Amino acid sequence: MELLCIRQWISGLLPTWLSAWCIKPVGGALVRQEPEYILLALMGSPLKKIMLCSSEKEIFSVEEQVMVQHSVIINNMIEDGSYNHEESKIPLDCVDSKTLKKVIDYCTHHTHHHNDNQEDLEAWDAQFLNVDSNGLYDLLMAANYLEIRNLLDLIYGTIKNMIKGKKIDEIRRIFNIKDHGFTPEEEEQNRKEYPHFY
Amino acid sequence: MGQSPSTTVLSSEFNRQQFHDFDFDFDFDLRNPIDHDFTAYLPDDCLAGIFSHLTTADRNRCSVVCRRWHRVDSQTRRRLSLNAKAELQDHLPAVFTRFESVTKLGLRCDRRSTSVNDEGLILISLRCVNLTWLKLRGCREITEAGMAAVGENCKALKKLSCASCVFGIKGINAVVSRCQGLEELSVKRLRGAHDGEEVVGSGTTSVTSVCLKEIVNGQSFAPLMIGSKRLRSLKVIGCLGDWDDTLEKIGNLHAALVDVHLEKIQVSDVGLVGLSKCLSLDTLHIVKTAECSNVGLNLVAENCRMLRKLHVDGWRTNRIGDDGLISVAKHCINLQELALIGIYPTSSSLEAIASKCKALERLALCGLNTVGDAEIECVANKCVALRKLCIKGCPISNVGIEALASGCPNLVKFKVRRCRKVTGMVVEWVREHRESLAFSFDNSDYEALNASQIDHDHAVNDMIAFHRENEEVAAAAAAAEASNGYNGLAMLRATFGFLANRSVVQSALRRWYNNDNVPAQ
Repeated sequence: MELLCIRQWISGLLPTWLSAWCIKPVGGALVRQEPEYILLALMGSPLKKIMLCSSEKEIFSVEEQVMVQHSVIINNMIEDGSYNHEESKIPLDCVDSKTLKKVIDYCTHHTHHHNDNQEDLEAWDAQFLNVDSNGLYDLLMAANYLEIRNLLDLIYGTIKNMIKGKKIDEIRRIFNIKDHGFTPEEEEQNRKEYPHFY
Repeated sequence: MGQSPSTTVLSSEFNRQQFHDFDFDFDFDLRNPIDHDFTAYLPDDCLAGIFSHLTTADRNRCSVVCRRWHRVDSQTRRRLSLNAKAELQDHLPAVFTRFESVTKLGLRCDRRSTSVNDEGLILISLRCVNLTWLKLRGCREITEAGMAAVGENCKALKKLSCASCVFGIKGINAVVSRCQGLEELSVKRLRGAHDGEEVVGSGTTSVTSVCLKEIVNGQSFAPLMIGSKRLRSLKVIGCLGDWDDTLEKIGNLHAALVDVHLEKIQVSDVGLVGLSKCLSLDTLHIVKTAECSNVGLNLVAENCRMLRKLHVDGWRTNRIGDDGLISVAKHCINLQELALIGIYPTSSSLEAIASKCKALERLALCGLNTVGDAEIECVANKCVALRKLCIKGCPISNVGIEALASGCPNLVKFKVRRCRKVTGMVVEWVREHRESLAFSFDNSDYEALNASQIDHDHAVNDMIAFHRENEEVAAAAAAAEASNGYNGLAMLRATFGFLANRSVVQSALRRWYNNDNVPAQ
């Protein structure tokens, strides 16, 4: 992870001389750059940003470093050069704005608070997952699509707690599984053989 | 998120409650039909991900929640533990049709039953070609022919563990010679081992860990140990023969050895001299090896400066004592964990350890008749980093306990057993003066005969428990998951009625299942 940051930092410094003069090349012309980028470029800070586009066509700007650290998909896209910083945005058609914002929140917090103690991080995570079932479902799908390992494990852990120690009838109720798909004979057989499961 | 810490904690409590009682029936939004199954739109790999975090007991229940969960569970279950009685053999095809991704398999058969035989093992090896971990226990019908099939078909095998098997060295060789990627080998009570053969040593460059327990002719494994250039962990417990020579050779060849456990075997200072050449040695247990003395320990300490964990059980022979310990204190400044059992240290060595081993976090003192209140004082005053302390069967009194509770600034856990001079009053004292300390005191008597063994076993368990608490939660959880499937605590209930053709089959497997004793963790 450190190597990645160093590389980004170096590549972030390259256009410094241009930035210092408040100019950046865009489509052949030289355009005056925003002051914040000048300051950052002078400081040599790797705050390069990328654009993520939700299914509702809303664009979210987020530090490249943050997303690259967490999402394997985004990391791969940037590594293999298919993402052009100046112009393109990454379209995420499977993720709506509300969920994308939450995902970005998660990644940003975990990058910036990487060195916090375990309890604080866990408390934050628990608060983060204070969502309804649809929200949880959407987060799970997004984390799976973007391949964000630690968010996936967090959600799996939450769902595991919903299942842990529960009997089958209750599990069916929790997950709203009305049709279990077994034939009546099979279901009866199971109930007879493993009564303590139910 | 701009919330004060107390609010956050409260909310997290509420969240846990919420998820336990959560009833998805009431929650829907307009884009989902009211009667949808929450998991219906989850891709299989997400469902599999959820299952992979469950204990075997929970997972078994999930497999009968609905047909889809049954299918996903069957397709993705990696760990299986079967009661390998002869009756299982007919059902093996069905089991491995259902569970197609098994990589870790345990076959366990009790002493009174006939086990599955070679034919069964051959079938298993053909169906589970991706097997990485095989554990056999008490499968007495298996011979080297079955093991050869495993070697031929399961080329991905990394870990082999056999206990109470009878296929002798031939059986071990059958796998070792064929599985070039084998990393861990653990053998306990192997019969048929005196057929004069030796375990192949050449070409076994992948083996990193060898553990032998109670094998009559453990020396047959010497070529393997010597030939495994990447050997990192070596455990020899209760095996006959003189191990000095082997240890000397290993010491000369294997710089990478980090973990050594020698218990109840014939090894003397010569063997320890050999081990002292392993400069990266990190963990050393010398337990009940009557011929080892201060001389050997001295040399190990002088050379193995990276030593972090040391357990010494002198078996009351008084051959290891102050000299050796002082040497350890002087040279092994990285020492984190120390267990002393059945030896006679005095203040001089305890003082040395306390002042020089600044990183010492875990200390166990068992059956040390020379350690009383005066001796324990230096521990109290100087063991600054000490977090966990266990004292058993030592002549300390309440005075010593109080000194320890007042000193040792980082002490978190303190356990006292069978110290006759300590009374219950000290519990109150500790509670008053050092509230945050987890203090456990018990004076019930154990059998004097077994005391030493119990001490060592408990010391080891304590150490393992202490150590695990400090390790990554994820790793510990994964280990717990694995051990759940393997220690026979949760036997699989394969529901054969749900095989491909969906016929209702009277499952004859009831008899093999440990129905109710399926603990959650």
